[in-house]
Amino acid sequence: MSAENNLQNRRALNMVWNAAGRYGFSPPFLAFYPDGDADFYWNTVIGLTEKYVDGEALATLFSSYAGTRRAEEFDGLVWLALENYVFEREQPERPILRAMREEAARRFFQERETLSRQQMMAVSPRLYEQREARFAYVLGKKLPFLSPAGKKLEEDLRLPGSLQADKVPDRLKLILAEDLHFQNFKLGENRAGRPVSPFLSQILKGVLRTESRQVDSLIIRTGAKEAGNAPGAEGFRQHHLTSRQEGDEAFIREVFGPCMYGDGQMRRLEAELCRGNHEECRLWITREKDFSGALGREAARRALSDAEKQQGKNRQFYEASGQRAEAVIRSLAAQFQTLLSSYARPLPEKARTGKLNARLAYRMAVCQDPMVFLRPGEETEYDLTVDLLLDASASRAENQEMIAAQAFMLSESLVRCHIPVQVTAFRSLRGFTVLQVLKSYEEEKSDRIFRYYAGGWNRDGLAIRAARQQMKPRAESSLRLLFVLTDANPDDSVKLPPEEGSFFLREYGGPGGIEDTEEAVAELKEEKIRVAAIYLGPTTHLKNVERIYGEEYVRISRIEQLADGARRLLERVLINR
Amino acid sequence: MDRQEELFAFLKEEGVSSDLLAQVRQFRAAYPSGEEWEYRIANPASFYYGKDVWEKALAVLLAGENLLLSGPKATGKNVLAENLSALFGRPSWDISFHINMDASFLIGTDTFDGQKVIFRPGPVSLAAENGGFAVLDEINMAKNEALAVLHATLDFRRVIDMPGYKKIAVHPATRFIGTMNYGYAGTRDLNEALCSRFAVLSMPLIREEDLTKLISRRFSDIRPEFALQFARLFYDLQKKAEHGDISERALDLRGLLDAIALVHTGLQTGQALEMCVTNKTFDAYERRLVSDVIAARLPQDLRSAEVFQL
Repeated sequence: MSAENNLQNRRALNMVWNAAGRYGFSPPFLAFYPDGDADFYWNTVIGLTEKYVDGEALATLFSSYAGTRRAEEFDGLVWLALENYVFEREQPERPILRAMREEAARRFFQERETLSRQQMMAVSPRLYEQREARFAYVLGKKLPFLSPAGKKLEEDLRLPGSLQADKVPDRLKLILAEDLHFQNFKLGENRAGRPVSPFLSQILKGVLRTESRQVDSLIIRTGAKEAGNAPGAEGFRQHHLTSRQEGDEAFIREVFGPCMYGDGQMRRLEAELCRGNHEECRLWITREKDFSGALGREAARRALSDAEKQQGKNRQFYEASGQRAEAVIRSLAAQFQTLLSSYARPLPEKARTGKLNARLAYRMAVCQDPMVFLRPGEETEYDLTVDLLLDASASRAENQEMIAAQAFMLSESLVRCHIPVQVTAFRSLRGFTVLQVLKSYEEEKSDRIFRYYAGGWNRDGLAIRAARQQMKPRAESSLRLLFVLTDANPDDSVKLPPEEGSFFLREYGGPGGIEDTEEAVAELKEEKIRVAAIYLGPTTHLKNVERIYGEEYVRISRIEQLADGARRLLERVLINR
Repeated sequence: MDRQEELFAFLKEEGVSSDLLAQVRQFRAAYPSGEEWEYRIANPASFYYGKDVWEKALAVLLAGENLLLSGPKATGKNVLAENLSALFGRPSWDISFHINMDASFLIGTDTFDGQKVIFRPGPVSLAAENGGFAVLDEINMAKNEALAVLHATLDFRRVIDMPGYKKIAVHPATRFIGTMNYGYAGTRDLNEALCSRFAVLSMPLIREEDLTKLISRRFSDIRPEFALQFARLFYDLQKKAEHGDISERALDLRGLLDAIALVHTGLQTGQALEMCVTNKTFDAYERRLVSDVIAARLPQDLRSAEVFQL
């Protein structure tokens, strides 16, 4: 679904909810104009129906004929009847409804000019003539010629508003039975099973304008089962279990794009970072903006296509949350703003009022200068940078869309406060620890964060040291923050060198990895970088978090709390500054 | 009849307890307003609707307590605060709180008068000395530390101690009325110490019939059916904002009343509502949702003659 469709879908829902006077339910029908825009009048009718008629009884009616070939026609006729019913009931409360109805009728006759008769009647000639009759009646035009049966149906479909709401479904059923000679009501049949050809559905969209569509809930869980197929959840791991092969570098290049450093630079960086525990490791740092891989190897091609699919899912997931995500960004930005202005220390400035500055007091008497007081001046610009390091190992496969959405919202809200923010995803694969810069400090947009996907291992110690290389150089009095989204369970297939006096390589998972990560964090802290963790993981690893990050961590129980966790963490860091 | 007497009459009509109103009269008799601050006594343009809220607020102030009005946007917190100071006939000091608020802003600060350093009192000291009503607007916008200076003023001690200057005893007619909106951008939780010094009145959203009355009273020539539709438009928007589909920006009672005033002056309904309601949100998609809500309530092209009985 395109972004615009998504917005129109949401807009249609809003029309329905507005008319119904309550929010959050999923109507069984939404109406769209042929050009894809939400249909104002018919969505209002759908909402009003929800307001006046028992939804469950109606749903039973709709599903009772759902399996038949005439279902589309019946849908149209039932909605015509409901339209009149809710119009008559609501009109005294909402006088504008008459104008809306007339506008819908005019639109019907206008559209008739542009569509061929065959198109109009594709669903059912009967439905077409009934619609025509209804709208002619609305506009006070001469009714089209109708057979006696058609005439009776037309009258019956003008369901009077005086009818009691609980009688409506029965009356509709009666119309179907008497006027349309339909008897075979199979209660409860699932309407989703009804086959509609793509061609027919196109016509339906144009002419009937009510489209049966299951509306997505705020959060579309597309991948619970698919997560395993997400790039590399298994695929990468399997690849990696094989020992390092020649061509690993080519594979990494194809999947993640070229390294942002030249060969010489990269060698120097590796010489600096890949020693001791990481002797056997390589680094790959990339920030390619519009990388569309050179599709060489089959494995790389598959991984890339999965990554692209995931990007689509991430974006769709975010867009489905509509206005709410925007509201979260606004509120987060405001909270950051409040936090920062609370802890920013305004420099004193000279003024006519305030605290008397004794050293300048003589100027009052001597120079008649009243500017001898100090008051809090304009705030100092907060010199703060935030780096967000996202664990993108396979263990995150379940939550990829949510992580991307949360990181995006966090990044956008920081950008709005003019705080330089950099977002980097890290994972280890085939011996390479890959850092993908998803948003650099300079970029104003955070869209590339949707390229986040999970797969591979996580060698936290090396990733944190490498992330340090990507951070802005320290200016005097600046505060540099590195927030790590982590499960505090470092694990990589490249083992640690043996301890002294031993021949055996040590696993990176377990105590070795934790110790290494702890050292990495300590190194950064020595450089006055504040490293803090947003911990999402089981209680069993909680002691690892405490060991690695000390007190500077927040635990979140659901990934939805990522952005909020970052806010709490920022608050804590600023208080303990 | 002056505006304060109109307010008494209005409250009587609304059914507010006559006992409470009688006590307010006694209060006024006990503390007549001096001429010096006459100009600070509010002259409210609109009255607050809601009998229960009125009674609670009156009881709190009559008992000598401070009042904290807490509630979402468009619940009439400031209207009520202004009405209260007018009803009690006390001069009022409106103090809008902001993040950089500090003690000197509230209490006062030193300044040079050309001869010597003197103390220039802040609004809280003035209100405290002169028996005024201090309206602490958006009290939770300020840092809690900055408000600590008010603790002794607000509790049983009722004093303001200004180091190096003097100690003011708070006038018995002085009352403090705070307003706050939880969850508003930039707000914070009020700390317990401060909160405990107020009686907290949670402000409900105005009821439909009260809002209709408010509109009809403000625009005495509006046709009743339109007063009702404008009122319902407000609730439609409120529900949408509550559900999170639009931000609270468009939920603006002041904006709605301004729009009606513009229609009265000569604009079409569509234009007036666009300027005063729809355009308050800056997101194009959100504006479209707001326009949809308006279109489902009011025609775009109505003019003054149709909306008002001119």
